[in-house]
Amino acid sequence: MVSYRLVVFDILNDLKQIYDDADLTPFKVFYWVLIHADRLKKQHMEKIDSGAFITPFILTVNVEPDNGRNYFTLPASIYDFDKDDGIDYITYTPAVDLSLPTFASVKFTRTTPSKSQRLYFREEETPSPANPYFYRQGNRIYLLGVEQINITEIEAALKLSFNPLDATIDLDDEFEFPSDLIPVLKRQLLDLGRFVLNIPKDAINDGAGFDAKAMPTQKLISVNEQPVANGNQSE
Amino acid sequence: MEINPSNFGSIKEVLADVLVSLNDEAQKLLTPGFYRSKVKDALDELAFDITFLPVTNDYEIPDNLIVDIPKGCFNLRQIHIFTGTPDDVQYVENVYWKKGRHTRGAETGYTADVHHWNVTDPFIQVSIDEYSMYYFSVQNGRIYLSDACSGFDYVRLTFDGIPSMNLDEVKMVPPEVKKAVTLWATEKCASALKIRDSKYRAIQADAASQLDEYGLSGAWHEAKMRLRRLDKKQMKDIIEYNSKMNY
Repeated sequence: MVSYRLVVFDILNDLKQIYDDADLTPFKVFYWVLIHADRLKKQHMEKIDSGAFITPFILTVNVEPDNGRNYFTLPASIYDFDKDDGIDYITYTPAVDLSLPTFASVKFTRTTPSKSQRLYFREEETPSPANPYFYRQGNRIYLLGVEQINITEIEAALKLSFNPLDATIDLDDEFEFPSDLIPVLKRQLLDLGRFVLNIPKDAINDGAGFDAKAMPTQKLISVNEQPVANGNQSE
Repeated sequence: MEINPSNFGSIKEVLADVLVSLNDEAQKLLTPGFYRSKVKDALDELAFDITFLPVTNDYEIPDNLIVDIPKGCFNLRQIHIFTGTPDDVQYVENVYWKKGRHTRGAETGYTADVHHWNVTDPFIQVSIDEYSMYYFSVQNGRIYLSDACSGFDYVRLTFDGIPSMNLDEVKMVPPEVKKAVTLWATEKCASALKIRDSKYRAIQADAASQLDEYGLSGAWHEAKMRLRRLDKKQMKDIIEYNSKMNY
């Protein structure tokens, strides 16, 4: 198992930043790891048809008291793929008595609020408990067609992303990242680190970057009309 | 060919092929309901072209002699009235269609170009015993039986059924036409998808070519020929009837 710590200190070590008061801190590199790994993993998942990074959840379904809409809240950040493909599937929980696995019998089909009106035009497509739909609005996933049944839980398989803002991630957690892409990630982080370490000396605004010889030594004379001496001003 | 409903396959068996052809096994490009409806449409279209689903039902003759045309019926084949019950049929009469007959129901009389009172009409005069006139007309989707039918208990309707309205999804597709139905559904679904991705245009064209719905060299025509063909037993008996020549 590869942990975040292993990757972070590998980068710090290569950049010679493992001493006290180093310019790069482990948490800064940890942040870099998350944002770069997020992008690489997203590209990987778009390209590779694999279940390696799909995580199933059993989630509580809530009802909006104002309008009776059923929804559940995403338990973690997911990739914002085209057509909400960050959600691999949503189905009833295994507690539902079906001979097949629930995800093989009834799956919630993705729709959007604006497209959902057409679904009611034809009996075969009309949302119902046997033919349910879902749509995403922000952090919530709404369920369509199950309003008439008392659904309390749902099974959802999600394609989780790295969330740099998630304070619960620990350095010693498993780094769920395709191992074949670690060299690519490392190269990108080393490039970023080298670039960042080069910035401070050139960018400090102390004037040290100016060459004294380049400073103007002659008095600058305006080409505009010169003001006349005091006392000789014409009326 | 007489088809055997116990051989019928499910819509899912057709979709198992259609979804692979369209590379949408997860059913995310189109909704599952859309796919199912296209398979049903294929069967309905085929049934309209070459009927393969005869349906026979019995209905009690109401006092007003008006019988609703059953849901899922699109082509009346036979109308018989009989006394007794469906399990104990006694006296039977054939009911004939009367052209241009209009009525409000039992005991209200009727109008028609050829009326049985047309005894003074200079062109068409009829002379039929009114009490033996068992006929019907269709008005506004309802079957209006003639007053003479009131002495009977049941009417037996035989008609061609629309598959999607008479069959369950689990037993809907005759194996003889599965290939044609699969291609038809594939073609229509690919047509719906081509606006999103032009690669579906090629899939649609391939399916349409193999189907050849309006021609004579594709799966559609093949399916119609299979359904139209007589069983060997029927063929043998017809030859036998004809060869007897009433001698």
